Amino acid sequence: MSMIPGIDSAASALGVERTRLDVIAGNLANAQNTSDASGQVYRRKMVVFESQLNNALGESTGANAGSSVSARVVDDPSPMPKVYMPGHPKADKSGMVEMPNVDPLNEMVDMMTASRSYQANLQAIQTGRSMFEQSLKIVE
Amino acid sequence: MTINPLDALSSLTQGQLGNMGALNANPPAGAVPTGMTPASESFNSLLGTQSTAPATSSVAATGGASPTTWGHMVQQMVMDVNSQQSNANVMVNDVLKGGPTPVHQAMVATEEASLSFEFLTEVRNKVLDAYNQIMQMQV
Amino acid sequence: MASDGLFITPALQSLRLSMDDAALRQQAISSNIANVNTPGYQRMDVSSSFQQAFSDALNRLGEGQTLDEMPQGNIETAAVQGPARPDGNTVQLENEMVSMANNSARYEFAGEMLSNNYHGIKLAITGQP
Repeated sequence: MSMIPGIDSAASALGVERTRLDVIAGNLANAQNTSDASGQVYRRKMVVFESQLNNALGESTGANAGSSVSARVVDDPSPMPKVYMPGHPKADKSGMVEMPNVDPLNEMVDMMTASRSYQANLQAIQTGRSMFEQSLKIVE
Repeated sequence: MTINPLDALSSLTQGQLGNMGALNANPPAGAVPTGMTPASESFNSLLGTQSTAPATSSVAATGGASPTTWGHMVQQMVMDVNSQQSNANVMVNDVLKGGPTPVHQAMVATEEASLSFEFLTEVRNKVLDAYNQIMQMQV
Repeated sequence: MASDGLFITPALQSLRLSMDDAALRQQAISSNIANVNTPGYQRMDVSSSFQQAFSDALNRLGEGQTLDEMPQGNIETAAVQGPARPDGNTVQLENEMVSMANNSARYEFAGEMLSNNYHGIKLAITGQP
């Protein structure tokens, strides 16, 4: 991957943002889900980002230097809101139902951030590609 | 310096450039010599180019003979161009393997090796022309 | 090597060095853009020692001297960081995008000039461009 400068980092970010968009889609779809496959109320999923160096310091002069990003999907530990719905099948003694801890507004904001980052990383790959094509002209 | 065109040119016309190159010990693979030999410096000063690097010697096989004859100069040039081209190949291979060489450096090395080879070819052609002219002179 | 004496000139060296610098910077920018949402990430840049060596070299080359050897560089976490967002990230996406546009323009310009130079040398050697 040493021909297009920066492609390792940008490609890792594309994968990560794609994962985040999938997670957001799942959260939105299950925003009202009080009983999933195992009968539990749906708990929001979130993505944790970590950066890592592409290679050891000795090789940092090459085209595959720099940092990439990776993501883990984890459960959101924040508490579930309770809503008063006395007739609901999952209502407890006082008529409160546990709802998923998904706030659609937050998910929309995250979706816009992920989308903007995705576009920026695509631009980085295109720019790197055009730099590579220019370097080929040296030999023409 | 003593010029013996017949020696050098007869070798050239018989296609012994390769033999001249093989007389030397193989240049180390991938090494980039940074200096110039005294023969190369005088050759370059003939051409009017600058030589600012300190002189180091990379010629081994001529057995200590003074490196100022045409034959030796051409021999030195052939070996230099050869090592320049092999160095360029090393860099290109490194790019293809995904190694740390930036692609533009491999491109630069390739282009410079190719131009050096064309330069060497032109020098050979001009020297041959001069030889032919001399041989056609009525004595 | 004697045969590359044709190419040890200030013009060619400054163009090659500019391309080295721009290629390095593109990797740093790409790392920064990739990590724009990573908590605690500090932006990377070309190492400050290479930036200094690069600007010194350009000054010398501009005065007509040639370099004995080309400086080598790498990228690292930038010494000077701007303000951090609440999650500790110091990357400003707009700055990185602008920097990327400038940087790729410099790289492509230097590449085009190098190509031009080599055509000129080839013309001088063989009489054909």
